[in-house]
Amino acid sequence: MSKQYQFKLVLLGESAVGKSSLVLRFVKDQFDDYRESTIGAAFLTQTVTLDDQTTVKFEIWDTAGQERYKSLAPMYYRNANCAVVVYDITQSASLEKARTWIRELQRQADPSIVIALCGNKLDLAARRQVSQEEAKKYADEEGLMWTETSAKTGEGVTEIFTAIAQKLPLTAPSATRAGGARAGPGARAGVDLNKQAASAGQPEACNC
Amino acid sequence: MSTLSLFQDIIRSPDEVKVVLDAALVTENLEDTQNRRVLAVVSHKDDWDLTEEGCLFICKYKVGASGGVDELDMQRVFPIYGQFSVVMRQMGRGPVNLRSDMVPKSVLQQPGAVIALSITPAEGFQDDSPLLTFFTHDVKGLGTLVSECRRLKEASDVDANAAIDLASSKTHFSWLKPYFEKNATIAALTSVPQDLRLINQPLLDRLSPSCAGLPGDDHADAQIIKDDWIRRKARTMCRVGKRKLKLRLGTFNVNGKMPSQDLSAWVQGNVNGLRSTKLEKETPELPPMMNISPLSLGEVISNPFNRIFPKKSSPHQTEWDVNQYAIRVDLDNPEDPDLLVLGFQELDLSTEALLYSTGTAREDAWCLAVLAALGEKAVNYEKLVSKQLVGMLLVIFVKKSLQSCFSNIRTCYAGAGILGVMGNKGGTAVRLTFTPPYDDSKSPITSPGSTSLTFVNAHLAAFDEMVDKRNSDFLDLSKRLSFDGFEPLRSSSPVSDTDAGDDRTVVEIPQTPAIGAPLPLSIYETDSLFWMLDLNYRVDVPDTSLRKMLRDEEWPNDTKIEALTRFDQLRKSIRDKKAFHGFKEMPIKHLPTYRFSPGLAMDAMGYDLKRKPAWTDRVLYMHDPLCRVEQLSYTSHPQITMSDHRPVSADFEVDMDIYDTAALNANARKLLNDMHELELENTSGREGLKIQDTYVDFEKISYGTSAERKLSVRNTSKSPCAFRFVPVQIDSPIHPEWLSVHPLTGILLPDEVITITLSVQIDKDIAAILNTRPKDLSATLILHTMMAKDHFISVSGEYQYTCFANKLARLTRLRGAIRAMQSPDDLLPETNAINAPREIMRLVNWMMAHNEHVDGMFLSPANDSQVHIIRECLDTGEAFPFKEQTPDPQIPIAFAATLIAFLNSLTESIIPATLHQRCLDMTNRDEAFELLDELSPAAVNVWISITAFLHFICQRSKEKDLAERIATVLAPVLLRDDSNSFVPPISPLRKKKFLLYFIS
Ligand SMILES: Nc1nc2c(ncn2[C@@H]2O[C@H](COP(=O)(O)OP(=O)(O)OP(=O)(O)O)[C@@H](O)[C@H]2O)c(=O)[nH]1
Ligand SMILES: [Mg+2]
Repeated sequence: MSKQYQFKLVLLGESAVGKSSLVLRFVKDQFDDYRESTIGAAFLTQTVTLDDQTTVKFEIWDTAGQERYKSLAPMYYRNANCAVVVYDITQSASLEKARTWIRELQRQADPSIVIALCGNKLDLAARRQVSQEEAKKYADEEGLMWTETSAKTGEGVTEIFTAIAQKLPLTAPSATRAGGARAGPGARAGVDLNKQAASAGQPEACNC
Repeated sequence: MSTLSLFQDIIRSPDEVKVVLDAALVTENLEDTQNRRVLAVVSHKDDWDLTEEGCLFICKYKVGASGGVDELDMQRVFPIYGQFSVVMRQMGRGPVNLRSDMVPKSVLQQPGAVIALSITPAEGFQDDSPLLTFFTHDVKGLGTLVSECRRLKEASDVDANAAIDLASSKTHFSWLKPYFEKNATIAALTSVPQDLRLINQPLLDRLSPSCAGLPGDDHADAQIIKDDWIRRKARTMCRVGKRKLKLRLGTFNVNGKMPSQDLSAWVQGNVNGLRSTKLEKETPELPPMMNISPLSLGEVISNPFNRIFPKKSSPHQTEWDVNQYAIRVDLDNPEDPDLLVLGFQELDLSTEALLYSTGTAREDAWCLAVLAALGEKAVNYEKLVSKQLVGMLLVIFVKKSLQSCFSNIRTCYAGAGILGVMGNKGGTAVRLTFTPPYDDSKSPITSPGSTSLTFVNAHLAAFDEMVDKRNSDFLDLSKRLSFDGFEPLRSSSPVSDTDAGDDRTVVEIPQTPAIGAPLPLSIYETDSLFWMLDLNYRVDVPDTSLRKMLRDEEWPNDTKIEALTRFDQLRKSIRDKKAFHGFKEMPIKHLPTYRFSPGLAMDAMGYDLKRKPAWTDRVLYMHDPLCRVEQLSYTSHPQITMSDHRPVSADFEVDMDIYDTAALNANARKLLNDMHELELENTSGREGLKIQDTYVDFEKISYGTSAERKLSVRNTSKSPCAFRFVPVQIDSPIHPEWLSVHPLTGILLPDEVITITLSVQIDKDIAAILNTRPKDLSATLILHTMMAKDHFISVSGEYQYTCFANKLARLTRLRGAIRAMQSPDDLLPETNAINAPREIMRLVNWMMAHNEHVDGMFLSPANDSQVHIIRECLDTGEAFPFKEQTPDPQIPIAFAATLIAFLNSLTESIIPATLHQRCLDMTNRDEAFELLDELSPAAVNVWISITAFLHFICQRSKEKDLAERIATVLAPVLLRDDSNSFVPPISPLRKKKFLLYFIS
């Protein structure tokens, strides 16, 4: 029995903390020194294989961090199974912003949402303004996952998405089969797609 | 072309072809195209849940116009699950073990070895068709086919015994639906007519519901956008000219009478020399298309993909300007209709007629009368086809010279009367295709494309209160009137000889892959559709007022009819989308056509006193945007008095393209392939669109002005990119009402740039909304690219509050000049409201104070910029900047014009429409004054101060008729009609009379 899951993940956080860079690293293993600020919300997918049996497909929404578009954020985190709230470890103000996002998610998002707090730009640790202790303490208090990453070097990036993938199926709402049906917007939730493993091996003898 | 690429043509893009196998139905002569079949396994991976499903397609080669095989026809589709299996055996021996690795080496090596395979369909897909056995040489391909089938069968998690209904399944194999519907494949993009109700909807409305963060079915939506684009492009690329067909349509409820009068007014329309045919002859005809270089006629655009695939050459790459001139089909008698289409109702009222056919005596009599009405021109015409259902007869006459251009003539009928069978109500319909004659020796067209025309003659439920029944009759007829493609035509009908041996007949009936029989064509699956009928829809105005209005000779017919048709039940049903949604009807200019009953009690106009007069007899139409239809006339013929209805006629022009169907198919295939190729090559990097500027500022937005901003959007990726705007929430609008955006959806090829236009135009309706909103206007537009990204575009502007387009009551509660208002709710308490709007008083006071020059006030056109200055002063509270010493005679005129514009912009009429009827009863000044008690205090004050000023200038003037003339202008302004009112309007003359009580 293999298990396939699909989850909606949303990235939130102040502008320029590196949300788009994290996604680019995760999905394409690339990094751009000069990325344009996101104006809108980009949709990407990436699949994580946990072991031979389980795969998790993330439907990722990378949102715009600019204040101007704040009112649209709820459209993107509604129905999300998980949220990665990013701050920049070299900007203490960005952690404040992250706290605001987390409060909003706790109030407005689906109560079962898994939230990960992510301190990015670990490669710039020399200019650190947010200590690991401070962030970790806050995350523990709020019951969030927490880690530090560098989209530039790739450190910690796959790990955080994998950790989320591991945690999600346990908390996902009861499984329903989608069977190719798109019940229309809003109807999606975590889906457990239990099914027979499609054997990719050599064809066997049978009248099929 | 390889079998694979032929097959790719008929596969929709997210679906993947796993293997294609050439096979044949019988062993002998494997190469004969008649026997050849293509078997292919196609897989579909669901984007959302990652499941995979597979299908086996069986296709036949279609012999093209050129005799070559350049297209495949899908015949059967077998979902791979449950019982489905493929068994193969070598010819002459028993079954072969199917493992591809175990097919005996000898077979594989033996040249020309033939292997047979039989298919067992899954539950519910078996039928009585002969055994599904095929033969093939391609042993290797067969091995792959078999192993793919097995793999997909294992991957399927459909219950083995489940019988899946492909037409209705919403889960398993629902991706196959497009192959069943008529809108897949090249044929759908070219020859299969689209449902007019669908094609006339804005493209955006055909896409799945979607909003910010929740894309709809992006794959399907992108496909719809692509199909639409290809359909239009392919046609414009092969259009070599246009021809114009002239139609005259008529509808006549004859009330069971036999013809007893000259029908020429109705049939020909040129009785009494009303129509000057001479004039039309004098308009110069352009010389036939063939003598003109294509370049001189319109823009020529080449295949849009040529830029991207520069090396490939493609045929048929010119694109014609859509507005290019269409030449009349018949140059000999261009003023006469090419087709005369007449619908009769109540041809036969006898009881027997309801029960069994009573022969063609009445039809013959009416046809003779029609020919007689054509006079000397009758020799040019003959009957093409007719269809009768009891009282309803639809008959089409054609110019003899064009008769051979019409083919594929089909008829049908549906009863809507008792039990849905009895034909006292219902409809008959005729569908035909017209292939324009085209003779250009230089570039002959071998398989000319045709345009289909569909005519419906119907008779709906009677009586005033039956409007719901009529609406449901219409919906019912829309569903049930369909052409099955095989209905034998009446043998007596002259059509039989036309149809025979007509090699131009274009096969339009699509095949369902599963059944192989032609699907019936709905009446909406056509290029142009005309309904002519006795609808029996009535006018929702009380009988007595209706008759009074009709009788009112002082009220000019045009404005009277315009006012009355606003209450017409059909118009209302169309507006409310209850019936005839999407149909067009030319504005009615004639008097009601029902009911006249000589001898019975009738009113002064000849209308039956027992039946409320109504426009029961109508002509409505709808057409594909690729086929231009223009209505030239719409009239009744009151001189034909033999029935209780008056006949109605309508002239139309239909412009149709001249194109080669083979070229059209080639174009569509080419575009589809090019598109497909780009998509396959570049599956990654869909983040393609770049918007030049995502922040749009309209700055100050004020009343009466319009502004436009352009956004340039470029596709920087290497694959085609479809986009659409989406709202923030599913049910919210895509853009605020003060903004318009065009286009709202589309597709961009790599490197292509389009300009999206954002525009703002503040008319009185928009101003009325914005005046009650915060003045900072801002909105975020969301441009969604399929499968990739939501782009945000911020739009902002600062609205300038104006005193125009407000309620009187609101104006009296302003604290000062409206422009200074900080918030829309910053008003005086109701109890402190002033007597009358400050702005109106300022206008009247200024005019009163500068009353030396009143010439032309309210009557002459004003200087727009002066009106603008005056309005600005009213809005800002500033003093009027006009010098007192050197009076400009234009200024008082501008003040008067501003007052009229102000009154017109108010959200309500000074005297509300509900009181207009009462104005009719006023016989003197005192009574008129009493009516003012009904008005709000602000309205009374406005009325009194304006009329007092008018009274003053009229008294003083030497011109005796000044009051008359001013009242003519101002009465409709002060007593404005309300199109939403339930009270019927009154004539402009009555309004004027009422106003004159105050000013003369
Ligand atoms: N040194 C370093 N720079 C980074 C890292 N991640 C992102 N950046 C840089 O930070 C800048 C902003 O990164 P983005 O990924 O665009 O930030 P964002 O959070 O998506 O910003 P918005 O789209 O405006 O919300 C870019 O110049 C990146 O190159 C990192 O881990 N280390
Ligand atoms: Mg970004």
